Amino acid sequence: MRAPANMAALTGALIARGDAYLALPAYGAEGAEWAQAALARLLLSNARLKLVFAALPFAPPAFLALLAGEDRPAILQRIVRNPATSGATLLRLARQMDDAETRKALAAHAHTPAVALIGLAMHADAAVRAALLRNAGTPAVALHALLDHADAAERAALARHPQADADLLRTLLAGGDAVVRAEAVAHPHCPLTQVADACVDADAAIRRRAASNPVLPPSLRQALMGDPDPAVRAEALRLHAEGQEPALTDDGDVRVRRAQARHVALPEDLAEALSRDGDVWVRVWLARNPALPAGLIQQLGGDAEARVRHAAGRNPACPADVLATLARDGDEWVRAAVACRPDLPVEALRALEQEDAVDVASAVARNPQARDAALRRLTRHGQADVRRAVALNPDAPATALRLLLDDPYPLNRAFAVRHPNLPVADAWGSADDDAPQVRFAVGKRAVTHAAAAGRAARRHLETFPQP
Amino acid sequence: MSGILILAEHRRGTLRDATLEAIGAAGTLKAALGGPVTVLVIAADPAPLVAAVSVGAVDEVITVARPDAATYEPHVYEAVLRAVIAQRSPSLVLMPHSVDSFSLAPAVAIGEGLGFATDVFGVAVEDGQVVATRAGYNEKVFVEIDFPGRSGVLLTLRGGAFAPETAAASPTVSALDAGAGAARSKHLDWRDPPASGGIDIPGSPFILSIGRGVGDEANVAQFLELAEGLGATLGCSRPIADNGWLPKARQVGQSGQLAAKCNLYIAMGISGSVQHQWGMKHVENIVAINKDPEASIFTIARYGIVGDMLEIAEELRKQKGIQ
Amino acid sequence: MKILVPVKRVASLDDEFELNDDGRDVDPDFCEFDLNEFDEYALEAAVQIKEAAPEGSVEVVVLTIGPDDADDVLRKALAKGADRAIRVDDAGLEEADRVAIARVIAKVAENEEPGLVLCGAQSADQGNAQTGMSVAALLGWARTAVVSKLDFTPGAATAQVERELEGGLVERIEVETPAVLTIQLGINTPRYASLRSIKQANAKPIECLTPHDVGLADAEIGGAGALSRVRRVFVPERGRGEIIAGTPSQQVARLLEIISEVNG
Ligand SMILES: Cc1cc2nc3c(=O)[nH]c(=O)nc-3n(C[C@H](O)[C@H](O)[C@H](O)COP(=O)(O)OP(=O)(O)OC[C@H]3O[C@@H](n4cnc5c(N)ncnc54)[C@H](O)[C@@H]3O)c2cc1C
Repeated sequence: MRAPANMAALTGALIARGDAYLALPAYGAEGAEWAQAALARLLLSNARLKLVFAALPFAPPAFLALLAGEDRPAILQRIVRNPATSGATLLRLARQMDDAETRKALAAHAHTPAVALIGLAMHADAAVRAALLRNAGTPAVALHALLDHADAAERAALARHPQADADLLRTLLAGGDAVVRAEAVAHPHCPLTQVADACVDADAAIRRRAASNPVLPPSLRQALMGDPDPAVRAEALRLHAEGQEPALTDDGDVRVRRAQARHVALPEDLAEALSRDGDVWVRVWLARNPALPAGLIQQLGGDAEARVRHAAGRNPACPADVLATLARDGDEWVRAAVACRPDLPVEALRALEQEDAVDVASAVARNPQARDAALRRLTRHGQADVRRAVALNPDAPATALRLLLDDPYPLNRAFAVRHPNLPVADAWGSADDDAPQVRFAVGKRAVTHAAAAGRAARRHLETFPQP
Repeated sequence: MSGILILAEHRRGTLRDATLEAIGAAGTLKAALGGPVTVLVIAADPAPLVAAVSVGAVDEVITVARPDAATYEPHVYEAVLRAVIAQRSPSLVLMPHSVDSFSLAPAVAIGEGLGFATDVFGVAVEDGQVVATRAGYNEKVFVEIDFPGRSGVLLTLRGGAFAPETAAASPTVSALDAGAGAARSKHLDWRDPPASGGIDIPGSPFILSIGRGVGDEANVAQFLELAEGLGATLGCSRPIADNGWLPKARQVGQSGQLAAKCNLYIAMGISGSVQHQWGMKHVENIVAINKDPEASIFTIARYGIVGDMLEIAEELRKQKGIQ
Repeated sequence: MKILVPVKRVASLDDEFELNDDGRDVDPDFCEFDLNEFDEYALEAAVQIKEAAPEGSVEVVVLTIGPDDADDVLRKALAKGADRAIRVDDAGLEEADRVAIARVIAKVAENEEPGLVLCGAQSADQGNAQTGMSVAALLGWARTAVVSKLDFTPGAATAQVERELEGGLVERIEVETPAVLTIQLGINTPRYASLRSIKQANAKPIECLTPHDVGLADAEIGGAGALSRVRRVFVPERGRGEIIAGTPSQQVARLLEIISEVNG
């Protein structure tokens, strides 16, 4: 049974099979337009399925647009909440439905067009206002509209909103209580003079929030690193000023040391000192720090605490010989830390390939360097999670993926079907799988394949124009 | 047809609290239903249990001493309870919705032709008739149940739904020689739950759990640190364990661990899938922290914070002085 | 020897749903149906007994009561190792409660004469924990509820079982057979059906009967055989708990308060 290679044949086959899950991905696909009506009949044939599809986050937006023509309010409500619904469909539903729930869902939706959000802001009840304040897409105009009747909590939310502009922030700062000011001075759009003022505010909470402003100029940051309050110093350290090496020095406060341990511009002598810190979390953060010299990573890789060794094993800069040592660690979780790394020396990986412990086995299964034979073996592991990790391995070979098509666990079969290394012909063989999610994945795979083939053929025609 | 009969549940010599809750429920219904409130104690030696059930609205305690009732045995209990019901014709029979009752209540209700509902958390009397409320579809709806044509009703009561009665009372106590019936199963021994070691999700009273909202592996360590600072055990949803970001032993849910002893569960960046809920839904104090106000976790949470878990975590660390 | 495993097609509700016009149940359009999870463990326990016994000496029979859509759960059970499947059609059983359903199961058990009936401890959707133990009462058989370990050799006069009590306490007991046992989650690891066994199961016949066919009298069928009636179903007013408002610092202050209140 071969997967039909062109979209026309594929769509015909999908309709003939009469399986809505298998056919769903074809709706709205390039090249399937001719069969739109027949597909629609199939996809809308069952009341339960309409409800299910309306809420399906991976339903094709074109199909959700079609479904938006249904009468049943429960279906429409699900479409408004579906993250896949397009802006155009949302606009259409916005004109047609005016209940409180719908307005709230529209106000919260990432695809609701700005005009509609502005409209909603004009006469919003409390729930809609809250949704607009949480929606990162709400434009500044709408935020200004919300300002008029904002209570204290809403003003704080306005001051945190990513689209808040300098004007709005200035107004909020002028009238604001400490909570609102603390939010505003942390905002990247906050006027710099106001941020500078905040850095010398008497209230440590305000200085701390100013220190967390991502566009804080280096001079102000440097000043805050000498702040008497350790929480402020720790905060000032957290964000890395590119190319600006702050003068880091020993600090008596454990909070500051933990923040320092994460800093990429850590002077070597300080790193050295922190690597012997009595606080295990300082050492954990340090061991993960990608800017740490190899010698220190090695030292931390031999730490008495497994947590620290684990962190060293996760450090992208961890040298190969340390990885190899950690691969022989007595602690399973430490071995698991290195088992998924493509840069793990080959002999060490071969040894780990023999292990059956869940955490290690699933890490090996995800390792692109793992041998095909090992991956095939892991597709038979007792734990479904380990087997699925093979399907999540970007380099999993078709031989292993084929074995997963018989996995007892539907999700694993679906992942195998989706894997680009599994030939489409094999995926198509699962078109009558018992689980709807697998059949959907098969449909999707076949549709993507046929669409790509169609595009390639058209490109070919364009390059070699027919006489 | 009158009065309320309560079957006392006890185990290894101790009355179970659920019986006091049933007595509490009976106290609230006594006026509407009329008749005495009677507690039946079946045991090899019932005497030591009498004081414990002599509370609240209880008017009478009936004891039945049988050597074959040294531990709970459903067939023995069935025979005794049915004999007492046949003799007294109570309008309501109450027992806890417990494992013991599972194997007893249906046989008694069917045998005596009583109206029957289980796991009930609300009882009302309307025009002299009992109406029970329980939950259905995994707690998503409530169901009102009535018992047309039944003069007596047997209900098993959900634990914690009725306030326990503890105020001492002085009921009359009478011993009864009730019921034929023979045991058809034999007690061998008890086994206490095993003590747990290492990462202990089932045994932890306080769990801080993280889900996919954590975003990136690099963020995970700070939650280990935070959990330690708060005195909590760190748990996680399945994708976190699947990614190898935390060991499988920390996974809460259907294919992971059951948070059996947990009293406070903080779910951060967890959407609240049924499979995750399987492991934690029963926890009394659930705090959900999620940036999506529509996330299903909020429907089971006692407290909710709509917000960014990383920001909340950061703030927690600051206010707790963890960093 | 036969082992009878009654299974239920349970419903899980979507996040939002609607009620039927009569207000006595949920509109099934909003339900996702599947084999009751507890029953999967009961089935696995039965199949394990079969596999430990001499080949061909034990037959596992699954039974459900429902409309023809419920064949799905029987096929799933067949794919997981059941040998035969029976469905009693639920037409006429609209007003049945769990006891009335148990009457159907008990009649089938009388006809099939199994040595053991294994049920799930309860259903995942309604959680009444009534059906299995009602079947035992109607048959007059020995019974144990919430079994977390089962040792039984076909033909033996007793089974050794552990029952799981509140708080994880376990009681070991010996129970007479034939018996009806209800099975707890975790007693075993239910197998997944392989794709091949699913395809084989789809080809197997399902015996379809009516309540009258199994020998029930009118006075035992549906509402007539029930001990309760659903008067009304409603969606509870459930405040979604306390939503902690404010800025992160205010929210966290409240959260820390809650932590110390609860942890004492
Ligand atoms: C047979 C089976 C068994 C399973 N067993 C288990 C199990 O034992 N345990 C388990 O957990 N799952 C289990 N699952 C998986 C389960 O279905 C879900 O996929 C899983 O629970 C989802 O995990 P999650 O909530 O972390 O992720 P998601 O569902 O992706 O949710 C992430 C949540 O984080 C929120 N979020 C994102 N960013 C932030 C942020 N910055 N701040 C705050 N919130 C944020 C999002 O709004 C979302 O609600 C099982 C599934 C199956 C089929």
